[in-house]
Amino acid sequence: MIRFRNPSSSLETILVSFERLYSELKNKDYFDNDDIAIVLAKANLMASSGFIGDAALSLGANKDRSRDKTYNNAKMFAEIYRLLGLVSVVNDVSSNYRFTYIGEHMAVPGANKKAIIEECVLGMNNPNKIIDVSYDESVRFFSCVLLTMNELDGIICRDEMILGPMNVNDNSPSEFNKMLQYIKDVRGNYNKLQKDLESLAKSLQGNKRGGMKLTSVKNCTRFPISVLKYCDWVKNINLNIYGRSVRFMKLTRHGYETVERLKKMKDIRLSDYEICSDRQKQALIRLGAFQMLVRARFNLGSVETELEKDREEVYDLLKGKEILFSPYQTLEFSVVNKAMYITFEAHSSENKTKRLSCYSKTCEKAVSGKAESMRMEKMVNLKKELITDEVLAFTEHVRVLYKSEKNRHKIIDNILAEHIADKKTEFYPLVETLFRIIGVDCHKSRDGVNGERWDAMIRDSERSIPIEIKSPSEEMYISIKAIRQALENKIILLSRKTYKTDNVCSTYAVGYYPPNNRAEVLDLISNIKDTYGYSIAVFDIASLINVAVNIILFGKGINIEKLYGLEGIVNIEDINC
Amino acid sequence: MRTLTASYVQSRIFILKDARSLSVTFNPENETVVKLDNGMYIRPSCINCIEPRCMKMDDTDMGCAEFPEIAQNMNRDVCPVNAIKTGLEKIEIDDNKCIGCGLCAASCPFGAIYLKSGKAKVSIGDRTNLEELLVNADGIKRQCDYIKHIAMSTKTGTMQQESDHVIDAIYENIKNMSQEEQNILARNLLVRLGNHATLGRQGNVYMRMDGLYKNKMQFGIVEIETGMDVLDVARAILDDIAVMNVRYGVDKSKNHPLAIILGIPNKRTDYWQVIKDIKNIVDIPISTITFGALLILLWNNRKENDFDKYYIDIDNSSIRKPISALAGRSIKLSEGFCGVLENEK
Repeated sequence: MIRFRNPSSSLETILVSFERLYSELKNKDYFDNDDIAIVLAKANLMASSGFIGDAALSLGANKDRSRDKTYNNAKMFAEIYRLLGLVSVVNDVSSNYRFTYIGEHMAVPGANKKAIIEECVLGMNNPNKIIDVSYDESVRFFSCVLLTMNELDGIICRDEMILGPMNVNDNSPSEFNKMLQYIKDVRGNYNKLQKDLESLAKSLQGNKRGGMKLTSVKNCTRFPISVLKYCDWVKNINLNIYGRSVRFMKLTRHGYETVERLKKMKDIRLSDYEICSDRQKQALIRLGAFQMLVRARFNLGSVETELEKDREEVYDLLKGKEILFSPYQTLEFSVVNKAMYITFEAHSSENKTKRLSCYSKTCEKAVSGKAESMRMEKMVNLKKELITDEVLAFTEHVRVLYKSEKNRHKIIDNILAEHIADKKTEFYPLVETLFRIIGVDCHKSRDGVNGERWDAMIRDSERSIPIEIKSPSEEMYISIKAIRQALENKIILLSRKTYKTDNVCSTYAVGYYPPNNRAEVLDLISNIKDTYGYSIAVFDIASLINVAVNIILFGKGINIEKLYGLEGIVNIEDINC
Repeated sequence: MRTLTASYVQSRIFILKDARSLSVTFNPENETVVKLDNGMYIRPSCINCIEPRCMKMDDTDMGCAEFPEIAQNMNRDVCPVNAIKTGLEKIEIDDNKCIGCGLCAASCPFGAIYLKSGKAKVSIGDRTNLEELLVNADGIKRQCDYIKHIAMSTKTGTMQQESDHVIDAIYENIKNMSQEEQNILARNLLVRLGNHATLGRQGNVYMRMDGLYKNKMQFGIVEIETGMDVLDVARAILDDIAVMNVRYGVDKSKNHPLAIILGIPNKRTDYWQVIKDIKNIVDIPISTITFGALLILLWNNRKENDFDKYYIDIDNSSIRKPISALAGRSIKLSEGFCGVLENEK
């Protein structure tokens, strides 16, 4: 499967970055990833941990180049520019670059950059002599995806694109047609589409054994999707073809026009080029490069005579058709320049920019420290006033499970599995029940009471705690959204005084699994504490079940007092309650 | 062989012969009138700028100088829906895409774009007034210098008369735009109303805010919401303020948050009370302004640097008064229409 690098979600950023690089580096003999990192970071065009400029260089820096964020980001930018044919490798060193003839035209005032980019993306093809890739599909991807959409009612969704155009040798008509037929057949069967996607991911060679992660596979579509949209070839549309609403891309009028243009062109691949004579090869290079510029609205009157001779030279190959061949995206820099009569002086390592040697690590803000100090300090039995029918039912359920399982972890896993598809009508009462077993007076909010914006409340005569609950059907992993709502709950409770509380006492977010993006959630909790002074504690449901099971089976409770000052992601299992 | 230079870009560029513009007057549904420094009045013609300001925002308008280290969205398009492109003789606007916001018209220094029937149109005018320049380094420099001068021209008049019909049509268009396009529209409106404004960069998980604005009076974070869940705006703003405080040292008292929404929510929603709660407890007044209000100010060539006056909550949920005051006249929109100036009934 084709794997596209993704240095930025926005093609606009990639292009603005190119302009800046050109303006800063055009007079250098050559430049490398360090130069790119410095220029882009200083121009606020590349971020590390959300910072840009010197801060980004400093935060991203690492003596181990494979872990140096800004260096690796620069490397990804360079790879995209190489793929687009805007820069190429010189000195036979894979990280020494120079702008190509096409790249120089991107910087011409008044140049139609969008038109040039259209040409560059249509020029991308594999195999080529400029980039070693870990896939072996023989494909001109963007032409392939447009022609595929044209055959499939003008639409394609992301997953179809992965299984189709990103996974086919498009210069084999039989393979191309087989791919089309596959997509036609799979439409309507969402389960098969997903299964095939998983099988594909497993079959791919990733960093780890057992294939690539499905998420990583899907991430490979970010660049092509942003390109398709940037070029105005597609627009988004939601369709119900798979029995559910799925986002598709639909060809626009310009998309269809491009398809018609592609159909009339002669697509020259590396294999076609290699069997030509030297004179034909040079003619193909000139025709390919100049024709790209003509289509990008440059006037080539001054070289038309020479191009006419070149057309005659390769007439048997092109048969009078317009050429689709991007030499800088297919062949070595020096080979193309020779055919274009472009010469450079020998490259030297002088005139290079020094990289800032500031290695510092990002400060990790551990805010869950208070949770670590949470210790079981006294035994707590079920309090009579907190017992409800749900509490009794849960207690009985745990005891029944214990008889068959005899293992606390298995009991927790069982209960966790029972609630994996809970909607809020099932999940909120579960949270209420667990907190009541733990020993606090928890009440879920009644539906339709607008003033009670929290989902549950631990009522207390002095220090009530609002709880934001996310059921697994809303989100499996507690997110930033829940943290934001927990803060809002605290502010509303303090303002409206529905129940008595104080500024110090915590506000909770409870969900099915702990946050997936742990650092991001911890950062936000810490920032909120620093800015507003409020403590937010996050519980996953397994931790609460764990405490409740311990209380029910072994009479082991927790120190209730600690509940009021919790902050960060609470991992009760770790503290051996 | 290396003969490809700017002189071969297929384009015709112009400047005005022997005169510069002093002022541009907009007229609803009609071409603008330009007063020249030689005392003449003309209907302008597109001079096909080599770097068209009606297409690309100026970098300096989008940066927040105080926080150069904040990663910004690099999209500089003036038109949020990409309806405008360069042509051989003049700028071209795609009627099918144009939403009629007027940003391109407000950006053209020469007044060569106007609004008619809710669409932007390019004036061709009398081209005998124009001098064609060669598209080479000298010609480009001459045109750029010329544009720098005419950029100082004052702009008066009304680009588009607001009405229920006009707002209804443009709101339908905005609803159909992608979130990124809506964000670009909001940013560009802030810029054209005299602010520096920037959007957060996509995919930056550390800075979740939609944008920032800065003017001679205020700095603030911006949240943009066109859906139903306006409560998310208030939550996001609290998050943004915390991030700006801790990561960039902006005390919350110095941050003047602005919510840009499509329509002012119904009084029955809890938004208004929550806004008041936030002001009461953490002393953060969240100002709320609508796309419609920003557009009305743009169409009337107004500048706005004080967003504090758009603080509205359960006790007062109308922005009609400050908008009318700035426009210098009463706004011709029915009460509650699309929630532009007050909540819908």
